[in-house]
Amino acid sequence: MIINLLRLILGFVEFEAKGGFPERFLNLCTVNGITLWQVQNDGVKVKACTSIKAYKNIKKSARNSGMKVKIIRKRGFPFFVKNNRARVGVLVGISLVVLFLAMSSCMLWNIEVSGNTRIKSEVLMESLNNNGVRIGVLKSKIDTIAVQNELLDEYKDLSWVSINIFGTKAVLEVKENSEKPEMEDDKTPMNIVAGKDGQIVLVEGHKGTNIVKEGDVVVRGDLLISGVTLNSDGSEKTTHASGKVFAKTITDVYGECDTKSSGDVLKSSGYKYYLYALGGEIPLFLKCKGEKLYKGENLLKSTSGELPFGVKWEFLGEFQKTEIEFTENQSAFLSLLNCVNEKRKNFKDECEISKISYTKNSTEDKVEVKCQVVAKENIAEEKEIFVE
Amino acid sequence: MKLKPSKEDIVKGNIELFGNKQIIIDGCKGVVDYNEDYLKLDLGKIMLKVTGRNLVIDSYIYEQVDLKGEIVSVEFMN
Repeated sequence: MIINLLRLILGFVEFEAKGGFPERFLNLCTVNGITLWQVQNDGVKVKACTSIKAYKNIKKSARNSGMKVKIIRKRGFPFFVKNNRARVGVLVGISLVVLFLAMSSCMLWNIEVSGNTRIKSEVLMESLNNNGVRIGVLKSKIDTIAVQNELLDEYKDLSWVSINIFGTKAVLEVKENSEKPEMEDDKTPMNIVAGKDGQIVLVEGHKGTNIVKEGDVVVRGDLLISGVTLNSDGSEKTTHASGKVFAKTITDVYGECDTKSSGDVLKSSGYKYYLYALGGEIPLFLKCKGEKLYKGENLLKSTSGELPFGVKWEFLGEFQKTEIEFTENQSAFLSLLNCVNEKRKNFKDECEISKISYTKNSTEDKVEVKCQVVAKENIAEEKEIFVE
Repeated sequence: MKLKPSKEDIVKGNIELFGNKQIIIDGCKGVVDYNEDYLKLDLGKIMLKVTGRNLVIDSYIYEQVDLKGEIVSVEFMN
């Protein structure tokens, strides 16, 4: 296989020899140092292959054995170049492709990060980039051990780092430290009190003595589950009360919006394109103004993932300060949005909203919205019992 | 009658046979006769005759012959 490839690169000729003594011709060729291969004798003529240089010396052996040689076919790179001398562009193109393939196989095409859960892959990629491991860099210039040590020094959360280079792909494998579990404090004596006014719907007492029952009305700060429990002998002991107390609550949230406002309005926009290859970017634009709003990329894909070739783009926008006047309905809508944001702050996760009603109050320059939210929510709040 | 061959009678060089498809003969002094069906080689003190079908000399260099084809027999001749 390799020998055949070498023969093709160096070039060879396929020839036939007729008449005379074929055996003598073969012996003379060997004596004169002419290498022959694929020798076939069909009784009439001998067919064989030899190198270009050897063929030039073959005439002497042919003459001495009474044979006449004739070229059947010329094969190999030198003949290809000779036949395509007029097509210089094609030859230059082929040479450039070969050169490019040879060069690019020495570079890094792809970087993968695996094993991370808390530290983001983008952050690790950025660190790799800062330490010289980036797409397009020569593989021989990467000092994997030094980069591994740098990463271990930089991120205290990492307990193990390994960089492996497979072909043109670098794989960063990491192991993160186990997080210290948070210890729940269940020793400090605590009461459960109401965090909001409301009517009790459900009491789930896990520890302590339930003070309220379903249907009771409580105000903020009322004791719901007591951390003081009675022993069988009548003595008292304090404990860390825990549990959930669900109540029907009514919460007012407010939102307002000015009818006149000033803001940035998009005046003009456009795309900026870059040709991307092996970490380098070639801009494909002449003039493009504005600030970068977002960016994206369309890279070529192979079966093993994305290739470092493609087009990257940025969306640019130019803004202008403009006075904006809202209609009453628009202002009311924006006020409601503000209410929603306010509501998110006031309510916990365990909350089931049953009814929302709102009233709006419009003046000349602003619209105020008052929302009344009826919900079933957990109002339990821990409060420490101070014991002397 | 000679029981043991003398040193002069022993063929110098190696002969390697790969199934019935290829034979490599070392120490070849020259090709005596050759066509598609047989090849007769001069190994110095002795002749070697290989018979078969579609015999092709894959290479002949530095006293080494690499013969490919369907080999039927290998025969030593004086």
